[in-house]
Amino acid sequence: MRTSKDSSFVTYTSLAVNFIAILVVTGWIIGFDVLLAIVPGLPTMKFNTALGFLFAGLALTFLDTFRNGFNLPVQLFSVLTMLIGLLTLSQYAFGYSLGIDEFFFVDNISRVANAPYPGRMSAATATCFLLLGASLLIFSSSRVRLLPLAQYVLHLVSLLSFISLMGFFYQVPSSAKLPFFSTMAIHTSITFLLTSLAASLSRPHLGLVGFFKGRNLGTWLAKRLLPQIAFLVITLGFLMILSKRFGIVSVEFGISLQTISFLAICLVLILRVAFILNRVDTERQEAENQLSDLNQSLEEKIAERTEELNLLNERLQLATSSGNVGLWTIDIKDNFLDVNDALRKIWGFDPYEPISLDSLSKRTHPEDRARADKAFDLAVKNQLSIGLEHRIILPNKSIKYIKVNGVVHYDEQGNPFRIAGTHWDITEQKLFEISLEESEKRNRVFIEQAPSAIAMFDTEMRYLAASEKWKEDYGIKDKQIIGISHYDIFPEIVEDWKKIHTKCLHGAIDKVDEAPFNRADGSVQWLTWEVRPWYKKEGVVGGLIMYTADITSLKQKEEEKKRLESILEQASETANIGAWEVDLVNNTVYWDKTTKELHKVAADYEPKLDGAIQFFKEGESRQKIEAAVQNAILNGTPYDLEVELVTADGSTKWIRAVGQADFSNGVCTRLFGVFQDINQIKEAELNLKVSEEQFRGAFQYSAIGMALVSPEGKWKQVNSRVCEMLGYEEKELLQTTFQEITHPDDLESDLQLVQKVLSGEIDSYKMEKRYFHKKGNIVWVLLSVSLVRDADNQPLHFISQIEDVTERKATENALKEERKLLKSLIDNIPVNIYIKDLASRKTLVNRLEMEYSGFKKESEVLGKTDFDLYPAESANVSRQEDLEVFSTGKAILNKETINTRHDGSTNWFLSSKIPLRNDTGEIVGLIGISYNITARKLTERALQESEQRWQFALEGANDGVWDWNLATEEVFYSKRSLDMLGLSTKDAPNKSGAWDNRVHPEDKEAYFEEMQKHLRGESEVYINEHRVQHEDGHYVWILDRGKVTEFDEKGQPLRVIGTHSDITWRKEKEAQVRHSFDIISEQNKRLLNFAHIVSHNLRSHSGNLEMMINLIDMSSTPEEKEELIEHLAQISGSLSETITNLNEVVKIQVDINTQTEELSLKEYFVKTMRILSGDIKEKRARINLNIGDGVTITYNRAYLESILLNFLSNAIKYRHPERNPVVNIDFVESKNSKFLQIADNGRGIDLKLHKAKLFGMYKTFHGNADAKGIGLFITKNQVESMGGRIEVESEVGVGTTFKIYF
Amino acid sequence: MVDLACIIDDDQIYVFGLRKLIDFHKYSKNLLVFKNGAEAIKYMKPLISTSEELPDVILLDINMPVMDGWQFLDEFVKIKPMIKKKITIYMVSSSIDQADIEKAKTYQEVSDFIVKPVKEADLAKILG
Repeated sequence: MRTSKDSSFVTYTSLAVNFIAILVVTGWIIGFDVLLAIVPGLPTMKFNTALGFLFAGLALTFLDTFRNGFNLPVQLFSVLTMLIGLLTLSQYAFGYSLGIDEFFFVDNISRVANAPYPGRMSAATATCFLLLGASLLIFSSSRVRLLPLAQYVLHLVSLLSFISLMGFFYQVPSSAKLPFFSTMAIHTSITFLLTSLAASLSRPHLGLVGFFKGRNLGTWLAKRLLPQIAFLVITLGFLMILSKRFGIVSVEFGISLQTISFLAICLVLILRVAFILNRVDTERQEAENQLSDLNQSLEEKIAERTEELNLLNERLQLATSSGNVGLWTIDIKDNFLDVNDALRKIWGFDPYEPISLDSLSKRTHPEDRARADKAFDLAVKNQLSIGLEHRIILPNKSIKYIKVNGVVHYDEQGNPFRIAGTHWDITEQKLFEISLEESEKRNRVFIEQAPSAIAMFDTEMRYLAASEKWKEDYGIKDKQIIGISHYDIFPEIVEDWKKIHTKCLHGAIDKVDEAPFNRADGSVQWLTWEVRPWYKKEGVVGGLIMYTADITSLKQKEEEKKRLESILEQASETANIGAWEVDLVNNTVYWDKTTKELHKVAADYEPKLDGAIQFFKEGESRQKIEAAVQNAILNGTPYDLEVELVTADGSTKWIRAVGQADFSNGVCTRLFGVFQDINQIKEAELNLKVSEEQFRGAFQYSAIGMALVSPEGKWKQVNSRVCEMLGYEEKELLQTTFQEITHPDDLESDLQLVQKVLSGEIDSYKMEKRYFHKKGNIVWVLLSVSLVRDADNQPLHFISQIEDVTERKATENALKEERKLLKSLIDNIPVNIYIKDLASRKTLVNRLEMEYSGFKKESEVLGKTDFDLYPAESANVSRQEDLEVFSTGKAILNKETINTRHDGSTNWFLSSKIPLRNDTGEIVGLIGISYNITARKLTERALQESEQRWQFALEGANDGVWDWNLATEEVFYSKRSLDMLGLSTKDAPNKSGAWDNRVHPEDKEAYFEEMQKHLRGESEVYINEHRVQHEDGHYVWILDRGKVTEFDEKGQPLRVIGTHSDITWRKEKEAQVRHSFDIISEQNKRLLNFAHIVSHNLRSHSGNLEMMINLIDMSSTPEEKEELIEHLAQISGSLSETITNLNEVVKIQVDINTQTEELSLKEYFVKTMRILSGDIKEKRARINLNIGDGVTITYNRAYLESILLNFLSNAIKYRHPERNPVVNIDFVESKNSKFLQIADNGRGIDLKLHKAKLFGMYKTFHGNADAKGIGLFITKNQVESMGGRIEVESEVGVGTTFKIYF
Repeated sequence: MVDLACIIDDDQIYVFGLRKLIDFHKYSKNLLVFKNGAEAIKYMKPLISTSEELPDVILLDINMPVMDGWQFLDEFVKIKPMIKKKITIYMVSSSIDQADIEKAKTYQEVSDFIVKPVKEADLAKILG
């Protein structure tokens, strides 16, 4: 290293040499001897010597003065210097004279002193000139190998002149000196010394100067010790000579004294050096400690950095996920607007297009422009903050929503000077909000028009919408409720319900079949409800939807029924009807209060199975009841008997016993029934018998026929009416039996009845029968017969009442026949048929109509109006229709009507009412024919509801629907499905192929496969996610789901219905998340790797340091120590290099926001090739650069330089030993990627062995001495920090191809 | 004291230091030094049948050019069945990566993993 101090020394010395030379020359010219010898008597400097110095001085002056290798003056003067020396030496050598010695001046001084060669310089001087000239000549040339030699030659000149100088110093007599140095003048010696030193210093890196100029410990020691030793030794020598010269000590003593002094001095010096070395050692130890501290703190720092990087990464992710942020600043003074690239991108400005507040205003949506301009205006004029959202129109006419924020910046004096802010692109969010609003609006309309009670709430339970029915049900028809809290409208809502609502707002669904709602006015409303949340988007509840139904009237009916039942109970109690029950499983008997009273037992009496039977009167009564009970238990036959009971107080009582059995699994488990006190009835019967005689009187003159008939059938007594009726005289009749004159068809049934009466089975009977008139014609009679028994209960006679009904019967029969036919006809028509009179009373109903009215007998319905049968509301409508028919005389045909019955059930009918006219044409009523279409209606309505719900659900989910008929290959796509592809319903495809063709080629296979799988029945539901091409050309992600809903008779699928959901947004988010995750994992990996590298590389040096220090402690000889110290220096050098490298790497790792710019790839390659031109030429490398001029990449300038240099120099460095390197460079750009390809024909790398560590730090593979293993590591880090990657292909002995992706 | 120790390491300063330590304590009569695994294998292969010329102990670095410590071990495992002499191998590395230490355990030929710098106590244990 040549310092400026060295430079000035050289310059001044060369000037001094020239000056001395000129001074001496002047001395010669004017004959001033002092200048020639300095001290008279000493040798003089010869004129030729002075001339030589002049040449040497000039050569030194010009050395390094001229640049660009112009060395002619130096070479000329060097040669002249050499020449003077050479010529003079040749005279000494060959003993001849060339006449040059006194060529210019005669040397009188020498001649006076009788010197051998007057005017001739000494041989030493001549040698010095020769050497000096030669050295300078070499310095001026570029012969590198000779340079060290020249330096040592200069050292020789210094030595020679120094020896000569020492001669003068010790005042050695000329004769005692070597003849070689004999006549060198004192200033000649000095000048030589100066010149040679100056010349040496001009090349300070060479020879001993290099050594003294170094910074190693040895040099330092040498520099310190040498001057001290030299000074001491010279001084010692001088003292010795003095003492000897003055005879102070003897020669022997002097020598020993000198030796001892020398030893003592050396001892002192060595002690000093040792002391210094110890100090250095201590310092080094400290440095080492600091180094290991540094090592540790570095590791800690790396951990911290990792943390920071992770944090940064998170923020980065946040920033990228929320889109680009445009930044802007406005200078308040001149309204100058400055924006970043992101803002230009948002607004659709080109990168270099001038941009001002005006140009922003022009792109603002006309409707928002005034508002936006005003905000900016206010901000600039009044220094207000900005915060607004507005629309902008891009040059491509698309509309974007942006959010603008800005704040005022103040300078140090507090004056506003700038407004700065951001623009966020919030289009997506806005559009989403708008579509949400629309869907909410749709829902609201849907709800408002729903026929049932539905209301929709937001999360604060404020009404968003409510159906008319809702308002009606809750009596709030005229109230303004939208926007008002449900709880404000119904303050009576209890806390429990509010809790339910809160739960539902968290996603729960609540269903209640019936619950009372205590209204504020005191009334109670019975409700059934369903509360469920609705979703704004997946997982976000927007509020609640409530469906309710008012079931108050139903509830009231139930209450009514209960009340009726209790009335019934009370009624039976007053009728003296008692209930009983026998549980045959547990053998228990139950009697109610009345039954106990009938038996005249106490209220707490507990009847037993056996005991109960004992109450029946022994004999006939008990047998009868036992038989009946037995029969009931075995066969389930119910019984109804009149039997006598002996009550607890011993009295006898007639009761009616009714019983019935209950069966379970064919076994009778229970008997139950009632007892009725019929004692009074029985008594009355007996009383009747007593008044028989009174009856007799009335007999004869009765208006109806009366007869007494013997149990055998003989007429015993007849009144005149009977005789008249039958055409017989009384006498004639009394000789016959009733059997004789009874129509044979009726005889059998008559006799049976007679038998029954006789056996006591029945008491009396009534029948219509035919007698034969005496003339032979048939007489129809209504016969009532009862038996009179005597006191012993033996049959006495029958009393028959006979009424002639022949005439009535004839008409009746005809009518009956007709009616029967008609009745059976209309009864069997599955249509409700009825006839009403003018008062709308039913005069005829068919079976269906009767059953519909809830009756079992036609007679129960007849004569009743709709008001009797149905609630007033329905009846009114019907009556109105009737009146219309009566007044207009026109039939109502096939009108759809609704009828509600008392039980609340509603039926739909297709009704016709046709006026009924009598013979004179007067309207006397109407015929009604109603076809019950309730079932159809209900199905229809259920279908409609389910369809509506389904539609609503789909609309809410924003899903599309498709319906695929496999037989016809036709597909129906819903509007929403078509919307997803930007198709209108008009040009809707209706074949499955139309959708299939739009599916992304990469997704097609899986798409078809999934569908086939489902069609083959291998999957429950068909689900597939695929991309489908939008009409615009871009792809939309669709979640496609479907299910076979119909199969043909062979079980092959016939129809598939499914849905489409647009999941593009979700997919994009997924991709972003995946990408972020990859980046983070990659960085983590890099960080971990880096941490290992750092610890490993620092450790290896610190390990070596420790080892060396250990060894220094152990070493015994100074040489060993010195060697170790040299190693220490080496380690320190490598350590600092490692730290530099690591720092380089850290810089790449940390520098996330590396500046990038548009760079021409070709230009940079050319630059790199220029840098490597020496190598390229030397190694005969051929580089084929196949990159066009226009190829540019956005990259960091320094990284690109470093990357290209690295790959190119590697390609040459690791060339194949047997061929010249050829490197092909290409740039490949495809749709998805662009990369740079550098292919060489070099040695190649065994990727099997080395791929894993190819890009690792300090990894080398070829054993090249200059391979450091840092280049590829840094290159990889740089490429990756720019978001790219490196790929490598290689074959040993063939070559390596690197692909650098951008 | 062993007859023949062997160092396979490309760090010349480390080798120098280790050599000094071994000489000083006379841990080994002779010492073999190789710059990488390939050189060591090249030396050992022809001498498989001999005993004296094969080392008793090998101090093996991991990170070396041409053939690193792991690759050397893989090669060594191949020739090991033919070697009659018992050769003890120690991995010596400045790596404190747990993965390296774990990997070393998977080779039964490796006796121990020593983290650089090698202490005299370590040497005393494995060579003394």
